[in-house]
Amino acid sequence: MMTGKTTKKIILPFLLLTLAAALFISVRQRGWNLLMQKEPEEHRLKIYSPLNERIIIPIIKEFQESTGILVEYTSAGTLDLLNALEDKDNKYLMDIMWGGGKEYLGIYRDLFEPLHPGAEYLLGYNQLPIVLIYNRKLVSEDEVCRSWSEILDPKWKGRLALADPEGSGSAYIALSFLLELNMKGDYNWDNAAKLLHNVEGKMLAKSSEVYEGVADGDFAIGISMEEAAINLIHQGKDIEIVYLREGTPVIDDSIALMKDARNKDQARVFIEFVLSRKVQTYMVDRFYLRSVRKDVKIPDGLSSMDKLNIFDTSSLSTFDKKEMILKKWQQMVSDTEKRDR
Amino acid sequence: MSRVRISVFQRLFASFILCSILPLIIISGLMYGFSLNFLNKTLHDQTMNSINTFHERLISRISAYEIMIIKIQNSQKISDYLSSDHGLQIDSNEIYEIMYEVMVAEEIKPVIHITNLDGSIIFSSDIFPESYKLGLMDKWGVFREIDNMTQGPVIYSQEMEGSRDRRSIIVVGDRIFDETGEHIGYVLVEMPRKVVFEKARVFNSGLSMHMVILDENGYTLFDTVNSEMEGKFQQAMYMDYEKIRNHKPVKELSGNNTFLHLEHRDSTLNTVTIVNVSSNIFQAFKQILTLIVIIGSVFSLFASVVLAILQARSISHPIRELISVMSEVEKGALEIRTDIRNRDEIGDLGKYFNQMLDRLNIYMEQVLEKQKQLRTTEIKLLQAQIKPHFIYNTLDVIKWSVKLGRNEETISVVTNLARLLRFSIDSVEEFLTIRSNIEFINSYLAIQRIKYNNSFEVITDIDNELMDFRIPRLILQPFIENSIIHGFGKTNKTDGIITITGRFRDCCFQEGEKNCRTIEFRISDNGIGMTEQEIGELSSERPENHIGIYNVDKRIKMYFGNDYGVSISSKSSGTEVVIRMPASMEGELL
Repeated sequence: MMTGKTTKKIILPFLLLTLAAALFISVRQRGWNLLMQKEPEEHRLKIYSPLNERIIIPIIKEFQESTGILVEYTSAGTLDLLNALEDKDNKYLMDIMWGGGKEYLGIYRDLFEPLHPGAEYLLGYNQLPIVLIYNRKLVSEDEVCRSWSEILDPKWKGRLALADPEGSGSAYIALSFLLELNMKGDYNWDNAAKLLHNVEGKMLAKSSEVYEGVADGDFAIGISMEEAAINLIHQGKDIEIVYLREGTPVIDDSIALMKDARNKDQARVFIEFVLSRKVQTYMVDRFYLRSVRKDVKIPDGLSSMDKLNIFDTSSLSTFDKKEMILKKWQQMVSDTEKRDR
Repeated sequence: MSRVRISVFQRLFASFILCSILPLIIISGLMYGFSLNFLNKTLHDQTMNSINTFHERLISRISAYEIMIIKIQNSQKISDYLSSDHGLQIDSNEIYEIMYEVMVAEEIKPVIHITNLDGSIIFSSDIFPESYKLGLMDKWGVFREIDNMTQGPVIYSQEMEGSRDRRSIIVVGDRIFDETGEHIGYVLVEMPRKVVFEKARVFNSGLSMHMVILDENGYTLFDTVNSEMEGKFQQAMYMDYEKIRNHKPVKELSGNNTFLHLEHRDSTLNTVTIVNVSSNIFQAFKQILTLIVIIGSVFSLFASVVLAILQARSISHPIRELISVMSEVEKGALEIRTDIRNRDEIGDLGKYFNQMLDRLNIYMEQVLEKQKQLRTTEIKLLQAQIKPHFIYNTLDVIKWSVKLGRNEETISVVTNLARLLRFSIDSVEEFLTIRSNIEFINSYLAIQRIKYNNSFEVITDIDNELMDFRIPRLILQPFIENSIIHGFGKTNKTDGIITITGRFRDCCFQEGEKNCRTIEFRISDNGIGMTEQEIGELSSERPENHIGIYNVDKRIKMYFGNDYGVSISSKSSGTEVVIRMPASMEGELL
């Protein structure tokens, strides 16, 4: 009886307190209940892409509207995305890797899966030649260099724009090309030193700064992508493209299906969409990107690939040794900085 | 089961506080919840109404644009021009005239584009965007939608840039046919962003808010706060810090500083409108409410603590006092009284307890008085037992002295007897000084010496200091008598010696009491002594002989307690009696 009474005594205030607390909380919660109902994010097709959003947005918009598949994309620099792949382990990050050179993505081949059994792991959808651009107001047509070795001429010191090979895929390929140019056994680090001399040890953080810098007259010449240059030319900038004599390295911008993709069917639809004639034509027309399709014309103002001295970037041995090369390059950069000081 | 002991005070205190705080908590919780809910609901309804009005207005514009499209579709001149294969029999100015005429009623002019199928003939009230040219070629965007649609105009959401910062976000488009019903071109009417901006003025609640219009796929069409998000996807993510910072999807913003979040899906426009009403007013309101609740709670807690302490103490304090008084009483302090002045049941309790104690005291006194009376009676009885015994003996002596004609002796005996009797009669006091006792003994001895022909000697050795202390009367005399009669009387011994010594003795019988001094008398003789049996008989009640000795022990014990009394040790060479009693000047009962 006694214990019964005491429990009652404890329970009554406790009940009251709980009641008050429950009221308090329920009322508060109702206020927040009106928050956005989350869409089923799980079913969204996840795409990682280093492409410019200017390209991504219209294509994804068209894709979503014509297929009804919702897309969620992550836009970042090529090397950031490659680092994400490097650290990925077993985590699911994305369904599709859209963009990035074939050679780069090839390092992580194991993470991908062919679109159809037996097909290639990496499907190129654009070809991006690496070219020299120059500002026509600063350099005359006769004066401009026509070969890679001429770029290394000390007369271009301080007038050459180059993106940081550590952050830019195109700059790294340019560096690799120079390292293997006239290579006798070991890499030609002498070329690298001359290149570094001409950029005065300062490299630009983003690829975009190169072509914008040349277009704005900050630099006379720059190593950039053909696609960016032709866009600027169509915008009316005073820029000209030079395909260098020793060879024009071409990046095969590729798209790949992830092995651990959660939305594989939708991913296949997307990849086929990107490779479709419609989208390829649109990319050529709108962004002056070279299509891999033979049935799509060459972008306005560009000459056929057959006429260019194409250098097969897959022959470069530098992709596997990237870490070592970048380390040495970094060393050279800091040495130059010290000497200048 | 061990139960925690909770005092009455604690229990009362806790209940008082609970009783005063609980209603406050409940009421403030309800008030807080209901008022926030009410505010929330009002704002929700109001904003929802605004959203609906906003959409109705947008749709009314769209309907107007659709009418324009029909007018253009029905224009013979336009269809002729588009199907003319650059025949140019018609002046292009006339086409423009038609275009401007259809939108003459519009306050903010939409942008109208008219094109043939391949884009070779274009009429536009603004510039014809490059993306339209491509879209036309590749059946992209709005043109794809129009081609897929079997009937009626298409409403397509897309961020479009025109000349001079003119932006449009919604396009209404349809095909143009010639007389034969062949598809010959397109007509597009763009709704400028400015129209949406103007229509958004229905939201005049005075609260800062954030409205975003998205298409069904998360493409941002309109954002009142972050206009740079327009033309971008909500669900984009970045790795570059700067881009992450610049990307402000509405979902992220709705989480932290927004109170009211509304979504409206428009099936005509195929858009989702999201409105976040800034939480500032709610925050302020909540802060005020919280402040009121907190201050109220603190104050009432403080007040209730004070009141609870006072109340609980007023109840528990008398109880505690009662308990302490009771425990004192339990220890024997009957004169203590409670001091409870409460005018309630507890006060009554104290009052009746006091009354009970008074009664108890009266009873106790009565009992004590009775006991005292009883004892006095008994002492008197015991005293009385001495007197006839002694007087009988003395009268015997006188009888013999007279018979033998010893007049002097007779006179001495009679004188001493008279002194003894006067001593007895005159003094009614129970206690007499040792000096008086010794005088009395001397008178007694004078009689006895005569009786026994001076056959014994008495040595009295009593400290002078002791002389003024008081002892009960007739304590020593019975033992002297015992020595004379029993120690010597039966042997006709002529060299008997009785030694009477009186000394202080420092000792303590009861622990914890202050050092008390006792008086110790030793009466020893060199008579025949007593056997163990005789000593045993002395201690038993009412022995046949030695009646005086038993009386003395009994009386001492009655006066002073069982720690005092008489002890007798005896050998064949004599008897020693030790009488112990406390030293007292007043001779009162202990």
